[in-house]
Amino acid sequence: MDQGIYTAAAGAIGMEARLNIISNNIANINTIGFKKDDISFEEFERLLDTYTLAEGQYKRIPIDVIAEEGHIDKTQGPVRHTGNPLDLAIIGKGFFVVKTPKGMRYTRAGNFHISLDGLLVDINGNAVQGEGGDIALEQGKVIISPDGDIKENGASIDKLKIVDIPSQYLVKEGKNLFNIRKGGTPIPVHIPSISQGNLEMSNVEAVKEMVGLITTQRAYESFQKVIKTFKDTYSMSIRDIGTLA
Amino acid sequence: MIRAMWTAATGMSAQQMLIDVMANNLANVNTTSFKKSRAEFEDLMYTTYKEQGSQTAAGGYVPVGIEVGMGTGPVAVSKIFTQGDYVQTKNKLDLAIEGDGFFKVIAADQDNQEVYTREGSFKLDKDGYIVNSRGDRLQPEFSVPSNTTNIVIAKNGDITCLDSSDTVLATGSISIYTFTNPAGLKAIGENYYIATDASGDAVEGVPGTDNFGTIAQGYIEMSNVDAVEEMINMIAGQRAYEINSKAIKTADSMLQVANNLVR
Repeated sequence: MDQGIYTAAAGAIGMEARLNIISNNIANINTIGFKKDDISFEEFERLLDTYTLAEGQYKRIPIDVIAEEGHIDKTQGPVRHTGNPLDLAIIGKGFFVVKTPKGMRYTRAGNFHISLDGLLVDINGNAVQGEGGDIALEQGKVIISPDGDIKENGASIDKLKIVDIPSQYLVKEGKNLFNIRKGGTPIPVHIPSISQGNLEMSNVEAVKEMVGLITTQRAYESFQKVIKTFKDTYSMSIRDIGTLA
Repeated sequence: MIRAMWTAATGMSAQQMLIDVMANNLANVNTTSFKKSRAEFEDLMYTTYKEQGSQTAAGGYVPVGIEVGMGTGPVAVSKIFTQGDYVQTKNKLDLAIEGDGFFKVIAADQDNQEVYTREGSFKLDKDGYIVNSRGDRLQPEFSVPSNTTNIVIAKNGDITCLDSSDTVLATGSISIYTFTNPAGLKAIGENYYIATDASGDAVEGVPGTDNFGTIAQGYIEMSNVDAVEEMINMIAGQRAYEINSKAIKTADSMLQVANNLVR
Protein backbone atom coordinates (compact mmCIF):
# COMPACT_ATOMS: atom_id res chain seq x y z
CA MET A 1 0.00 0.00 0.00
CA ASP A 2 1.09 3.55 -0.53
CA GLN A 3 1.98 5.85 2.30
CA GLY A 4 -0.45 8.45 1.02
CA ILE A 5 -3.63 6.82 2.26
CA TYR A 6 -2.23 6.75 5.81
CA THR A 7 -1.14 10.36 5.51
CA ALA A 8 -4.67 11.37 4.56
CA ALA A 9 -6.10 9.32 7.40
CA ALA A 10 -3.73 11.03 9.85
CA GLY A 11 -4.90 14.37 8.52
CA ALA A 12 -8.53 13.39 9.03
CA ILE A 13 -7.79 12.30 12.60
CA GLY A 14 -6.05 15.63 13.18
CA MET A 15 -9.21 17.42 12.02
CA GLU A 16 -11.23 15.39 14.51
CA ALA A 17 -8.94 16.58 17.30
CA ARG A 18 -9.42 20.12 16.08
CA LEU A 19 -13.19 19.75 16.02
CA ASN A 20 -13.12 18.50 19.60
CA ILE A 21 -11.17 21.56 20.68
CA ILE A 22 -13.46 23.95 18.82
CA SER A 23 -16.51 22.26 20.37
CA ASN A 24 -15.05 22.73 23.83
CA ASN A 25 -14.39 26.41 23.11
CA ILE A 26 -17.94 26.89 21.89
CA ALA A 27 -19.41 25.01 24.87
CA ASN A 28 -17.55 27.44 27.13
CA ILE A 29 -18.65 30.60 25.34
CA ASN A 30 -20.45 31.76 28.51
CA THR A 31 -17.98 30.41 31.10
CA ILE A 32 -16.55 33.11 33.34
CA GLY A 33 -12.79 33.59 32.88
CA PHE A 34 -12.50 30.83 30.25
CA LYS A 35 -9.48 30.94 27.94
CA LYS A 36 -9.85 29.29 24.57
CA ASP A 37 -7.61 26.52 23.25
CA ASP A 38 -6.04 26.32 19.88
CA ILE A 39 -4.18 23.54 18.14
CA SER A 40 -1.48 23.69 15.53
CA PHE A 41 -0.41 21.03 13.08
CA GLU A 42 2.93 20.16 11.78
CA GLU A 43 4.23 18.10 9.01
CA PHE A 44 5.86 15.08 10.51
CA GLU A 45 8.83 13.80 8.66
CA ARG A 46 10.54 10.53 9.00
CA LEU A 47 13.74 9.36 7.43
CA LEU A 48 12.82 6.67 4.99
CA ASP A 49 15.39 4.27 3.72
CA THR A 50 14.71 3.83 0.08
CA TYR A 51 16.23 0.99 -1.83
CA THR A 52 16.44 2.95 -5.01
CA LEU A 53 19.04 5.36 -3.69
CA ALA A 54 22.75 4.78 -3.38
CA GLU A 55 24.15 3.59 -0.12
CA GLY A 56 24.14 6.25 2.59
CA GLN A 57 21.55 8.36 0.88
CA TYR A 58 18.11 8.93 2.30
CA LYS A 59 15.02 10.46 0.97
CA ARG A 60 12.75 12.42 3.23
CA ILE A 61 9.10 11.73 2.73
CA PRO A 62 6.56 13.65 4.73
CA ILE A 63 4.25 11.00 6.02
CA ASP A 64 1.94 12.46 8.59
CA VAL A 65 0.18 15.56 9.57
CA ILE A 66 0.07 15.38 13.31
CA ALA A 67 -1.37 17.56 15.96
CA GLU A 68 1.77 19.16 17.29
CA GLU A 69 0.86 21.62 19.99
CA GLY A 70 -2.06 22.83 21.98
CA HIS A 71 -2.03 26.49 22.98
CA ILE A 72 -4.00 28.34 25.54
CA ASP A 73 -4.93 31.72 24.17
CA LYS A 74 -4.55 34.15 27.06
CA THR A 75 -6.07 37.19 25.36
CA GLN A 76 -8.35 39.34 27.47
CA GLY A 77 -12.01 38.33 27.50
CA PRO A 78 -14.76 40.96 27.46
CA VAL A 79 -15.50 42.49 30.86
CA ARG A 80 -19.11 42.49 32.00
CA HIS A 81 -20.41 44.81 34.69
CA THR A 82 -22.31 43.05 37.45
CA GLY A 83 -22.19 45.54 40.34
CA ASN A 84 -21.59 42.69 42.77
CA PRO A 85 -18.76 43.80 45.12
CA LEU A 86 -17.17 40.34 45.21
CA ASP A 87 -17.01 40.00 41.42
CA LEU A 88 -13.47 40.81 40.35
CA ALA A 89 -11.97 41.00 36.88
CA ILE A 90 -8.28 41.17 36.05
CA ILE A 91 -7.60 43.61 33.25
CA GLY A 92 -4.43 42.58 31.47
CA LYS A 93 -2.10 39.87 32.62
CA GLY A 94 -2.19 37.79 35.75
CA PHE A 95 -4.18 35.13 37.57
CA PHE A 96 -5.84 34.94 40.96
CA VAL A 97 -4.28 32.30 43.22
CA VAL A 98 -6.59 29.88 45.05
CA LYS A 99 -5.70 27.20 47.56
CA THR A 100 -7.26 23.84 46.61
CA PRO A 101 -6.84 20.52 48.41
CA LYS A 102 -4.38 19.59 45.63
CA GLY A 103 -2.26 22.71 46.06
CA MET A 104 -2.20 26.21 44.66
CA ARG A 105 -4.15 26.72 41.46
CA TYR A 106 -4.70 29.74 39.27
CA THR A 107 -7.84 31.24 37.82
CA ARG A 108 -9.20 34.21 35.90
CA ALA A 109 -12.76 33.58 37.10
CA GLY A 110 -13.34 36.27 39.70
CA ASN A 111 -16.86 35.33 40.83
CA PHE A 112 -15.89 35.13 44.48
CA HIS A 113 -17.98 34.63 47.58
CA ILE A 114 -17.56 34.71 51.33
CA SER A 115 -17.41 31.31 52.97
CA LEU A 116 -19.09 30.34 56.20
CA ASP A 117 -15.86 31.00 58.12
CA GLY A 118 -15.54 34.44 56.57
CA LEU A 119 -12.88 33.68 53.95
CA LEU A 120 -12.90 35.02 50.42
CA VAL A 121 -13.42 31.89 48.31
CA ASP A 122 -14.00 30.98 44.69
CA ILE A 123 -17.19 29.35 43.47
CA ASN A 124 -15.96 25.90 44.52
CA GLY A 125 -15.01 27.05 48.01
CA ASN A 126 -11.24 27.30 47.45
CA ALA A 127 -9.69 30.14 49.47
CA VAL A 128 -8.46 33.06 47.38
CA GLN A 129 -4.92 33.96 48.36
CA GLY A 130 -3.65 37.37 49.35
CA GLU A 131 -0.05 38.33 49.98
CA GLY A 132 -0.62 37.13 53.54
CA GLY A 133 -2.40 33.84 52.75
CA ASP A 134 -6.15 33.32 53.10
CA ILE A 135 -8.18 36.51 53.09
CA ALA A 136 -10.46 36.79 56.13
CA LEU A 137 -13.26 39.27 55.73
CA GLU A 138 -15.35 40.69 58.54
CA GLN A 139 -18.86 41.72 57.71
CA GLY A 140 -18.44 45.07 56.14
CA LYS A 141 -18.05 46.97 52.95
CA VAL A 142 -15.22 45.51 50.91
CA ILE A 143 -13.44 47.83 48.56
CA ILE A 144 -10.78 46.44 46.27
CA SER A 145 -8.65 49.04 44.59
CA PRO A 146 -7.27 48.51 41.05
CA ASP A 147 -3.87 47.46 42.42
CA GLY A 148 -5.50 44.63 44.41
CA ASP A 149 -5.45 46.30 47.81
CA ILE A 150 -8.37 45.04 49.92
CA LYS A 151 -9.97 47.59 52.20
CA GLU A 152 -12.67 46.70 54.63
CA ASN A 153 -14.52 49.45 56.49
CA GLY A 154 -11.75 51.78 55.38
CA ALA A 155 -8.86 49.74 56.77
CA SER A 156 -6.46 47.95 54.45
CA ILE A 157 -6.43 44.25 55.38
CA ASP A 158 -4.51 42.49 52.63
CA LYS A 159 -3.51 42.64 48.99
CA LEU A 160 -4.70 40.14 46.38
CA LYS A 161 -1.95 37.86 45.16
CA ILE A 162 -1.78 38.09 41.39
CA VAL A 163 0.74 36.05 39.42
CA ASP A 164 1.43 35.58 35.75
CA ILE A 165 2.32 32.27 34.12
CA PRO A 166 3.80 31.98 30.62
CA SER A 167 1.36 30.28 28.20
CA GLN A 168 3.60 27.30 27.55
CA TYR A 169 3.53 26.33 31.23
CA LEU A 170 -0.23 26.64 31.66
CA VAL A 171 -2.33 23.52 31.91
CA LYS A 172 -6.08 23.47 32.34
CA GLU A 173 -7.59 21.48 35.12
CA GLY A 174 -11.28 22.15 34.60
CA LYS A 175 -13.44 24.02 37.13
CA ASN A 176 -12.00 27.26 35.69
CA LEU A 177 -8.63 26.42 37.25
CA PHE A 178 -5.16 26.37 35.73
CA ASN A 179 -2.12 24.53 37.00
CA ILE A 180 1.55 25.04 36.19
CA ARG A 181 3.52 22.46 34.26
CA LYS A 182 6.81 21.16 35.47
CA GLY A 183 9.53 23.75 34.99
CA GLY A 184 7.27 26.78 35.17
CA THR A 185 7.17 29.23 38.03
CA PRO A 186 4.55 31.87 38.74
CA ILE A 187 5.83 35.40 38.24
CA PRO A 188 4.34 37.89 40.71
CA VAL A 189 2.52 40.79 39.10
CA HIS A 190 3.34 43.72 41.36
CA ILE A 191 1.00 46.27 39.86
CA PRO A 192 -2.05 44.37 38.67
CA SER A 193 -5.21 45.96 37.38
CA ILE A 194 -8.28 44.68 39.20
CA SER A 195 -11.77 45.86 38.44
CA GLN A 196 -14.31 45.40 41.22
CA GLY A 197 -17.95 44.75 40.35
CA ASN A 198 -17.00 43.29 36.97
CA LEU A 199 -16.43 39.81 35.61
CA GLU A 200 -14.21 38.71 32.78
CA MET A 201 -16.22 36.57 30.39
CA SER A 202 -14.97 33.84 28.05
CA ASN A 203 -12.55 35.01 25.34
CA VAL A 204 -14.11 32.64 22.80
CA GLU A 205 -15.18 34.54 19.69
CA ALA A 206 -18.19 33.05 17.95
CA VAL A 207 -17.15 34.13 14.44
CA LYS A 208 -13.66 32.65 14.66
CA GLU A 209 -15.00 29.38 16.01
CA MET A 210 -17.61 29.20 13.23
CA VAL A 211 -14.91 29.74 10.62
CA GLY A 212 -12.90 27.04 12.40
CA LEU A 213 -15.87 24.67 12.17
CA ILE A 214 -16.23 25.27 8.46
CA THR A 215 -12.54 24.89 7.61
CA THR A 216 -12.29 21.78 9.76
CA GLN A 217 -15.24 20.18 8.06
CA ARG A 218 -14.03 21.04 4.56
CA ALA A 219 -10.50 19.85 5.28
CA TYR A 220 -11.96 16.61 6.59
CA GLU A 221 -13.90 16.20 3.35
CA SER A 222 -10.76 16.81 1.33
CA PHE A 223 -8.92 14.09 3.23
CA GLN A 224 -11.82 11.82 2.55
CA LYS A 225 -11.50 12.57 -1.18
CA VAL A 226 -7.82 11.67 -1.05
CA ILE A 227 -8.60 8.40 0.71
CA LYS A 228 -11.29 7.66 -1.85
CA THR A 229 -8.94 8.39 -4.72
CA PHE A 230 -6.43 5.89 -3.32
CA LYS A 231 -9.23 3.40 -2.87
CA ASP A 232 -10.30 3.82 -6.49
CA THR A 233 -6.70 3.47 -7.65
CA TYR A 234 -6.31 0.24 -5.72
CA SER A 235 -9.49 -1.26 -7.01
CA MET A 236 -8.54 -0.26 -10.50
CA SER A 237 -5.14 -1.93 -10.22
CA ILE A 238 -6.66 -5.05 -8.70
CA ARG A 239 -9.28 -5.21 -11.41
CA ASP A 240 -7.40 -4.08 -14.48
CA ILE A 241 -3.73 -4.97 -14.12
CA GLY A 242 -3.16 -8.48 -15.22
CA THR A 243 -6.23 -8.78 -17.33
CA LEU A 244 -5.51 -9.32 -20.93
CA ALA A 245 -6.76 -6.68 -23.29
CA MET B 1 -15.17 12.85 16.89
CA ILE B 2 -18.21 11.74 18.84
CA ARG B 3 -16.58 13.65 21.72
CA ALA B 4 -17.30 16.93 19.90
CA MET B 5 -21.00 16.15 19.85
CA TRP B 6 -21.18 15.49 23.57
CA THR B 7 -19.03 18.52 24.29
CA ALA B 8 -21.29 20.80 22.29
CA ALA B 9 -24.31 19.18 23.95
CA THR B 10 -23.00 20.25 27.37
CA GLY B 11 -22.80 23.75 25.92
CA MET B 12 -26.42 23.57 24.76
CA SER B 13 -27.73 22.39 28.11
CA ALA B 14 -25.70 25.12 29.84
CA GLN B 15 -27.30 27.79 27.67
CA GLN B 16 -30.67 26.26 28.35
CA MET B 17 -30.05 26.62 32.07
CA LEU B 18 -28.91 30.21 31.54
CA ILE B 19 -32.22 30.96 29.82
CA ASP B 20 -34.17 29.18 32.59
CA VAL B 21 -32.56 31.32 35.29
CA MET B 22 -33.04 34.44 33.21
CA ALA B 23 -36.71 33.68 32.57
CA ASN B 24 -37.26 33.50 36.32
CA ASN B 25 -35.46 36.83 36.79
CA LEU B 26 -37.55 38.48 34.10
CA ALA B 27 -40.78 37.00 35.48
CA ASN B 28 -39.91 38.68 38.78
CA VAL B 29 -38.97 42.05 37.36
CA ASN B 30 -41.82 43.63 39.35
CA THR B 31 -41.71 41.40 42.44
CA THR B 32 -41.11 43.43 45.59
CA SER B 33 -37.62 42.87 47.02
CA PHE B 34 -36.84 40.05 44.57
CA LYS B 35 -33.13 39.26 44.23
CA LYS B 36 -31.93 38.08 40.86
CA SER B 37 -29.96 34.90 40.27
CA ARG B 38 -27.04 34.27 38.00
CA ALA B 39 -26.10 30.92 36.49
CA GLU B 40 -22.37 30.33 36.63
CA PHE B 41 -20.45 27.79 34.57
CA GLU B 42 -17.06 26.15 34.66
CA ASP B 43 -15.12 24.05 32.20
CA LEU B 44 -15.20 20.30 32.80
CA MET B 45 -12.20 17.98 32.98
CA TYR B 46 -9.59 17.73 30.26
CA THR B 47 -8.28 14.69 28.48
CA THR B 48 -4.68 14.56 27.35
CA TYR B 49 -4.07 13.70 23.70
CA LYS B 50 -0.38 14.16 23.96
CA GLU B 51 1.63 14.52 27.12
CA GLN B 52 4.03 17.39 27.45
CA GLY B 53 7.57 16.09 27.91
CA SER B 54 6.95 12.82 26.07
CA GLN B 55 9.47 11.71 23.50
CA THR B 56 8.84 12.16 19.81
CA ALA B 57 9.78 9.58 17.19
CA ALA B 58 12.65 11.80 16.13
CA GLY B 59 14.07 11.64 19.64
CA GLY B 60 13.09 15.13 20.75
CA TYR B 61 10.69 16.08 23.49
CA VAL B 62 7.22 17.48 23.08
CA PRO B 63 7.40 20.99 24.53
CA VAL B 64 3.69 21.55 24.89
CA GLY B 65 1.13 18.77 25.00
CA ILE B 66 -2.41 18.74 23.76
CA GLU B 67 -5.37 18.57 26.03
CA VAL B 68 -8.96 18.65 24.99
CA GLY B 69 -11.76 19.73 27.27
CA MET B 70 -15.03 17.92 27.80
CA GLY B 71 -17.26 20.97 27.66
CA THR B 72 -18.96 23.07 30.26
CA GLY B 73 -21.16 22.50 33.26
CA PRO B 74 -23.15 24.60 35.70
CA VAL B 75 -21.31 25.17 38.98
CA ALA B 76 -23.68 27.49 40.83
CA VAL B 77 -26.73 29.65 40.57
CA SER B 78 -25.78 32.60 42.77
CA LYS B 79 -28.25 34.99 44.29
CA ILE B 80 -27.09 38.52 43.66
CA PHE B 81 -27.94 40.65 46.69
CA THR B 82 -27.44 44.06 45.18
CA GLN B 83 -29.85 46.78 46.19
CA GLY B 84 -33.13 47.07 44.34
CA ASP B 85 -34.69 50.45 43.63
CA TYR B 86 -36.83 52.09 46.31
CA VAL B 87 -40.34 53.22 45.65
CA GLN B 88 -42.04 55.68 47.94
CA THR B 89 -45.50 54.48 48.96
CA LYS B 90 -46.19 56.73 51.99
CA ASN B 91 -47.76 53.68 53.57
CA LYS B 92 -46.77 53.70 57.29
CA LEU B 93 -46.04 49.99 57.35
CA ASP B 94 -44.08 49.75 54.13
CA LEU B 95 -40.50 49.24 55.25
CA ALA B 96 -37.38 49.01 53.13
CA ILE B 97 -33.95 47.98 54.36
CA GLU B 98 -31.25 50.29 53.09
CA GLY B 99 -28.10 48.21 53.16
CA ASP B 100 -27.56 44.64 54.31
CA GLY B 101 -30.00 42.60 56.33
CA PHE B 102 -33.29 40.76 56.34
CA PHE B 103 -36.51 40.86 58.32
CA LYS B 104 -37.34 37.67 60.18
CA VAL B 105 -40.87 36.26 60.09
CA ILE B 106 -42.37 32.98 61.25
CA ALA B 107 -43.84 31.25 58.23
CA ALA B 108 -47.13 29.77 59.38
CA ASP B 109 -47.57 27.53 56.34
CA GLN B 110 -43.91 26.38 56.35
CA ASP B 111 -44.01 24.42 59.63
CA ASN B 112 -43.62 27.65 61.60
CA GLN B 113 -39.96 27.88 60.71
CA GLU B 114 -37.98 31.07 60.88
CA VAL B 115 -37.60 32.58 57.45
CA TYR B 116 -35.88 35.73 56.28
CA THR B 117 -37.12 38.23 53.76
CA ARG B 118 -36.42 41.70 52.48
CA GLU B 119 -40.01 42.20 51.52
CA GLY B 120 -41.29 44.95 53.81
CA SER B 121 -44.89 45.63 52.84
CA PHE B 122 -46.34 44.98 56.28
CA LYS B 123 -49.91 45.18 57.53
CA LEU B 124 -51.69 44.63 60.81
CA ASP B 125 -53.62 41.46 61.55
CA LYS B 126 -56.85 41.30 63.54
CA ASP B 127 -54.92 41.16 66.82
CA GLY B 128 -52.89 44.23 65.91
CA TYR B 129 -49.66 42.34 65.18
CA ILE B 130 -47.41 43.48 62.37
CA VAL B 131 -47.65 40.86 59.64
CA ASN B 132 -46.59 40.65 56.02
CA SER B 133 -48.91 40.15 53.07
CA ARG B 134 -49.06 36.41 53.78
CA GLY B 135 -50.13 37.01 57.37
CA ASP B 136 -46.82 35.85 58.86
CA ARG B 137 -45.77 37.81 61.91
CA LEU B 138 -42.69 40.01 61.91
CA GLN B 139 -40.16 38.97 64.57
CA PRO B 140 -39.79 40.04 67.33
CA GLU B 141 -43.57 40.23 67.43
CA PHE B 142 -45.09 43.60 68.06
CA SER B 143 -48.72 44.41 68.69
CA VAL B 144 -50.05 47.85 67.81
CA PRO B 145 -52.70 49.13 70.26
CA SER B 146 -56.13 49.43 68.67
CA ASN B 147 -56.55 53.18 69.19
CA THR B 148 -53.28 54.01 67.43
CA THR B 149 -53.61 56.59 64.71
CA ASN B 150 -49.98 57.04 63.78
CA ILE B 151 -47.00 54.69 63.72
CA VAL B 152 -43.51 56.11 63.47
CA ILE B 153 -40.64 53.78 62.64
CA ALA B 154 -37.20 55.30 62.99
CA LYS B 155 -34.12 54.48 60.93
CA ASN B 156 -32.84 52.32 63.78
CA GLY B 157 -36.03 50.27 63.90
CA ASP B 158 -37.66 51.90 66.92
CA ILE B 159 -41.44 51.73 66.67
CA THR B 160 -43.55 54.40 68.35
CA CYS B 161 -47.36 54.19 68.35
CA LEU B 162 -49.20 57.46 68.85
CA ASP B 163 -52.89 58.25 69.31
CA SER B 164 -54.75 61.26 67.91
CA SER B 165 -53.41 63.55 70.64
CA ASP B 166 -49.80 62.40 70.00
CA THR B 167 -49.60 60.47 73.25
CA VAL B 168 -47.20 57.52 73.09
CA LEU B 169 -49.25 54.34 73.46
CA ALA B 170 -46.56 51.72 72.94
CA THR B 171 -42.95 51.39 71.79
CA GLY B 172 -41.00 48.53 70.33
CA SER B 173 -38.17 47.82 67.97
CA ILE B 174 -37.55 45.93 64.77
CA SER B 175 -34.40 43.82 64.50
CA ILE B 176 -32.75 42.88 61.28
CA TYR B 177 -30.59 39.89 60.57
CA THR B 178 -27.47 39.43 58.51
CA PHE B 179 -25.54 36.40 57.31
CA THR B 180 -21.86 35.76 56.75
CA ASN B 181 -22.60 34.49 53.26
CA PRO B 182 -26.02 35.68 52.08
CA ALA B 183 -25.42 34.03 48.68
CA GLY B 184 -25.66 30.69 50.52
CA LEU B 185 -29.25 31.31 51.63
CA LYS B 186 -31.85 28.99 50.20
CA ALA B 187 -34.71 30.69 48.39
CA ILE B 188 -37.94 28.84 49.16
CA GLY B 189 -40.25 31.08 47.16
CA GLU B 190 -42.69 33.67 48.47
CA ASN B 191 -39.73 36.06 48.84
CA TYR B 192 -38.52 33.90 51.72
CA TYR B 193 -35.04 32.63 52.41
CA ILE B 194 -33.93 30.09 54.99
CA ALA B 195 -30.52 29.78 56.61
CA THR B 196 -28.31 26.90 55.45
CA ASP B 197 -24.90 25.52 56.41
CA ALA B 198 -23.46 27.61 53.61
CA SER B 199 -24.99 30.89 54.73
CA GLY B 200 -24.23 30.50 58.43
CA ASP B 201 -26.55 31.41 61.25
CA ALA B 202 -28.44 34.67 61.31
CA VAL B 203 -26.85 37.48 63.31
CA GLU B 204 -29.41 39.74 64.96
CA GLY B 205 -28.70 43.43 65.12
CA VAL B 206 -30.05 46.91 65.55
CA PRO B 207 -30.58 48.63 62.19
CA GLY B 208 -27.89 51.19 61.48
CA THR B 209 -25.22 49.68 63.73
CA ASP B 210 -22.12 47.94 62.38
CA ASN B 211 -22.97 46.48 59.02
CA PHE B 212 -26.73 46.37 59.50
CA GLY B 213 -28.78 48.44 57.08
CA THR B 214 -31.22 51.09 58.17
CA ILE B 215 -34.99 51.02 57.90
CA ALA B 216 -36.84 53.44 55.67
CA GLN B 217 -40.51 53.90 56.52
CA GLY B 218 -42.92 54.52 53.67
CA TYR B 219 -40.75 52.86 51.05
CA ILE B 220 -40.63 49.43 49.52
CA GLU B 221 -37.69 47.84 47.80
CA MET B 222 -38.34 46.75 44.25
CA SER B 223 -36.77 43.86 42.34
CA ASN B 224 -33.08 44.24 41.52
CA VAL B 225 -33.60 42.67 38.09
CA ASP B 226 -32.39 44.94 35.32
CA ALA B 227 -34.55 44.20 32.29
CA VAL B 228 -31.95 45.48 29.80
CA GLU B 229 -29.20 43.32 31.26
CA GLU B 230 -31.45 40.26 31.22
CA MET B 231 -32.43 40.91 27.60
CA ILE B 232 -28.79 41.09 26.60
CA ASN B 233 -28.06 37.89 28.48
CA MET B 234 -31.00 36.28 26.74
CA ILE B 235 -29.69 37.20 23.29
CA ALA B 236 -26.20 35.98 24.21
CA GLY B 237 -27.65 32.75 25.58
CA GLN B 238 -29.75 32.11 22.50
CA ARG B 239 -26.89 32.73 20.09
CA ALA B 240 -24.57 30.56 22.12
CA TYR B 241 -27.19 27.82 21.97
CA GLU B 242 -27.32 28.14 18.18
CA ILE B 243 -23.59 28.05 17.73
CA ASN B 244 -23.32 24.94 19.90
CA SER B 245 -25.90 23.26 17.70
CA LYS B 246 -23.72 24.17 14.69
CA ALA B 247 -20.81 22.31 16.29
CA ILE B 248 -22.99 19.23 16.64
CA LYS B 249 -24.08 19.59 13.03
CA THR B 250 -20.47 19.86 11.87
CA ALA B 251 -19.54 16.74 13.82
CA ASP B 252 -22.51 15.00 12.23
CA SER B 253 -21.47 16.04 8.71
CA MET B 254 -17.95 14.79 9.35
CA LEU B 255 -19.27 11.46 10.56
CA GLN B 256 -21.33 11.28 7.38
CA VAL B 257 -18.20 11.89 5.33
CA ALA B 258 -16.44 9.10 7.21
CA ASN B 259 -19.38 6.80 6.63
CA ASN B 260 -19.27 7.52 2.91
CA LEU B 261 -15.72 6.17 2.68
CA VAL B 262 -17.12 2.68 2.51
CA ARG B 263 -20.25 2.16 0.55
